Amino acid sequence: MDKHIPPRLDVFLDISTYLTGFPLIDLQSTGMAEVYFNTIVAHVNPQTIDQFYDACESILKLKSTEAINETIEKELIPNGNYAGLGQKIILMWYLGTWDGNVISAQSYTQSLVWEVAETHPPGAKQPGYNSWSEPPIKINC
Amino acid sequence: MKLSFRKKDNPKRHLLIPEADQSRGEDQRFEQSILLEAAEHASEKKSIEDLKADLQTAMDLELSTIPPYLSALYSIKEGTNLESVEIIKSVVIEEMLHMVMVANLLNAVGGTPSIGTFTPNYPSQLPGNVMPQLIVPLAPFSIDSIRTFEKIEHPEGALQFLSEKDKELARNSADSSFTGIGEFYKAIKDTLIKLEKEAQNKGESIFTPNRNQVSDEQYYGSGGKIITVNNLTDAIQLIDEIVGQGEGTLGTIFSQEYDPKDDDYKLFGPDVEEYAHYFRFKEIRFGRFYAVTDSAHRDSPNKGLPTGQPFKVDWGAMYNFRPNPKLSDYDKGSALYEKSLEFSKTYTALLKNINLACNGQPDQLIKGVTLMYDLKYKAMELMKIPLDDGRYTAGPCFEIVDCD
Repeated sequence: MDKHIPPRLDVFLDISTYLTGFPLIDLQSTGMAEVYFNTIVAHVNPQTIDQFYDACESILKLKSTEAINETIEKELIPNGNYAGLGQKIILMWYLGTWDGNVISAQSYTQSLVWEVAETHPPGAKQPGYNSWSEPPIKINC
Repeated sequence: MKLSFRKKDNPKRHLLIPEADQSRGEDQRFEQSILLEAAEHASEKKSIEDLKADLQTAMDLELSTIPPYLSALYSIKEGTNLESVEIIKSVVIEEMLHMVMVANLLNAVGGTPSIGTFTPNYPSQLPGNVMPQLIVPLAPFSIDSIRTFEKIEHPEGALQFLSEKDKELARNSADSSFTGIGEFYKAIKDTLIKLEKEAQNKGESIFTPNRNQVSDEQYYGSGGKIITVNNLTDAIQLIDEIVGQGEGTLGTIFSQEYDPKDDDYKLFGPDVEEYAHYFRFKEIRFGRFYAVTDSAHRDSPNKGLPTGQPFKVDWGAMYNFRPNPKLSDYDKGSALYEKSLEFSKTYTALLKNINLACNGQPDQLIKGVTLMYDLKYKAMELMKIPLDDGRYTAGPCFEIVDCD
């Protein structure tokens, strides 16, 4: 683990669990959290980012999941709010892209879209000879 | 299990340099002690059932090296330590090859290989009383891990743990706890030769041709050519191949010995490209490849250490997973438990797949390749999950779980 953990990475991860619908552990296991966090820093005005995370912090303090989800929809998702960060974070996790550009080779491979579609990221994460035609392994027991 | 103790009286072995700074007395250097009769007695007493049991232990031994090597390999951050990744990967692939080759041998003598019922509970000793002094953990890529790997593959076996003086004493004792992997296989080879000789005297053979063999049709492109066993010649070739790839008991890095007077050697290098695991791990620790002129000998100009092309080893570029991860570390039903269990299931399924392949369904191995990749991705996912202690990440639990 890196010793330097950016401040508010935890807020980013927490709000991401609501924005993506994936549990924290699945987001962490992509290994992309810091990369995505830094992608925002590189592209968005620092003041907007601060305001966005301030808003996230107060939303996350709400008592029920329903209340959190409703407020996210009203506050974070509408076009133009916080430079569209709410929508962009969803796209980043699901597609590994920022404004339509793939962030890195890893972000392509680690996109949540493959998991949801139950398929392999084409051209990456080689699963072995002739196995492209098979769905990803699910071991049931 | 009792194993015969083999004496290390080959002068070439004495010349090996485990560490450059170790010095040896001139008087000890070529000291020839008498070959222990105990060793011969041990193989004389062995029956075909003992042989089968020893071969099963050999498979367990090969398997036991795989989780430690894979754990270190998968902990290396993507895109870093490229040379170290290639070296560790090449060794793991050969260990897998060895396991399947021993299964071929066990099948050839009428045995039934069993894979997927045993896996060490790390940190663990190696099976078969091989170097009981050595405790092998599952740990991330580090200089300590590489040192442990060198010890596993050390040409001197357990003698490496003794002072020079005690080594001489040990060579003269019948204590089987100084067995290395090479000695372990040498004992098997002796038993094979003896049993086959006895069988042939009766006009029989201990070998059944074409029995449940995994051949290069199923196992290809990895770690060398798989050897199928139909007779004693095949069996000896197989064991020599395993020992040669592992410890390199000849005491040389390359198959041809270093000879400063041989211009051909200096120009074209040694005969083989891949050399024993022990030396490959040493390259990582020193961050240098062996040069073709390098020798394993203590008295060589390079003092047995690599002097070739340097490469970068970034010991910090790894996921620092908490050593020896276990399912029991987590509360049942927690997210980390479930994620770790997924890995254990994949590991179990892989072992069971290889078991089928080695018991008459060799085509199963093709499916196994998919499981191997899946194992890697699952391990790497775990290593990216930070634990609450803020120091370590989660890691792969190489455990056998109930699973079909």
